[in-house]
Amino acid sequence: MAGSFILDYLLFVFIAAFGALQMAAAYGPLPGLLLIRSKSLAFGAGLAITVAAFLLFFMTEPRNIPDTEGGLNGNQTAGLFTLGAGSALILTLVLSSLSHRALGKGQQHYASGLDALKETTYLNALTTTLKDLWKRYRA
Amino acid sequence: MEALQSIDKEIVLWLNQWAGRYALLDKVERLIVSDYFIPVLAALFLVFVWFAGRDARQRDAHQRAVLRALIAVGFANLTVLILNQHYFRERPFVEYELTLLFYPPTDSSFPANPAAVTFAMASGMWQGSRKLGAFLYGLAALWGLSRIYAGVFYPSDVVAGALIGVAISYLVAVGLRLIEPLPTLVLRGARTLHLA
Repeated sequence: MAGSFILDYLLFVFIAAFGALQMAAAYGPLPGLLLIRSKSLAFGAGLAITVAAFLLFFMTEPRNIPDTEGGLNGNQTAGLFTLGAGSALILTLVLSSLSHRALGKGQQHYASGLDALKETTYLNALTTTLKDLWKRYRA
Repeated sequence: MEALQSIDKEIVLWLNQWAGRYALLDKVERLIVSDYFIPVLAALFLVFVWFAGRDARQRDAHQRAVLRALIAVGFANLTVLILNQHYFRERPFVEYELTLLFYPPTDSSFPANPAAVTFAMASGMWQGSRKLGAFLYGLAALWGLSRIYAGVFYPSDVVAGALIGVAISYLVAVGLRLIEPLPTLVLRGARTLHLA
């Protein structure tokens, strides 16, 4: 019971966070983080994914279970949320980078922080920044 | 003290009289009162806010608010844990005949941990953005109210939890100002990796 609940919760958070990230990327907007080019479509898809995650989690089984009978305690809830949302972020960064490989590629510098994702993908921005840092370190 | 307990009792009994009467209302209530619905919704909101600024300045304000909210949640949780070691109050469903719409918790009713953590989160966000904070305050209030309705908390438990959460978040804000430039360095590090 506990194992299945943990997996259900982890999957729920993972899917919901994946949707929330698409909504945030569309709102920004951060084209480098979007999986669909159209902002409004991406926002709608993100919302649909998040709502679907909630429906799947709460409609399939009773979820008001104490931690002594297979539910999760506060620490587990927080830890699994971090794991699920972190995994969703990694998947978003990788998928968006692969699907828009050419976006803003070849530039010497990108804006700092998340603003770089307005011009290019995460992996492009990260590799450029790391190369730049390495050059400065070597010099 | 007796007057407060009497008000507590009256409110719980009045609210709980509606429990078990309407199937649809009970279904919605069981969803809202859950350990996972509002907490996950609020945490996802923090994820959204972290990435969703219109420009670097707004994003910086949002991210500082998210940091403050998360740290406040941790300290609010710890504070309630410590208080629970020294004071125990029975749950309303133990004291009175109520329709329970939640599993029967065995820990202390006072102060309400769910109220402490969600109000800490809301207050942390409020200090960065009134609009975003108001949304989280709404969720926190809804969760607290649903727990009273479900028969697992007294109103005074929720009010005390909320006050603890808000107070802790303001203390965290002062603490973060005192340890500057550490929070700025953390954000700058995340910014270097294009994550903030």
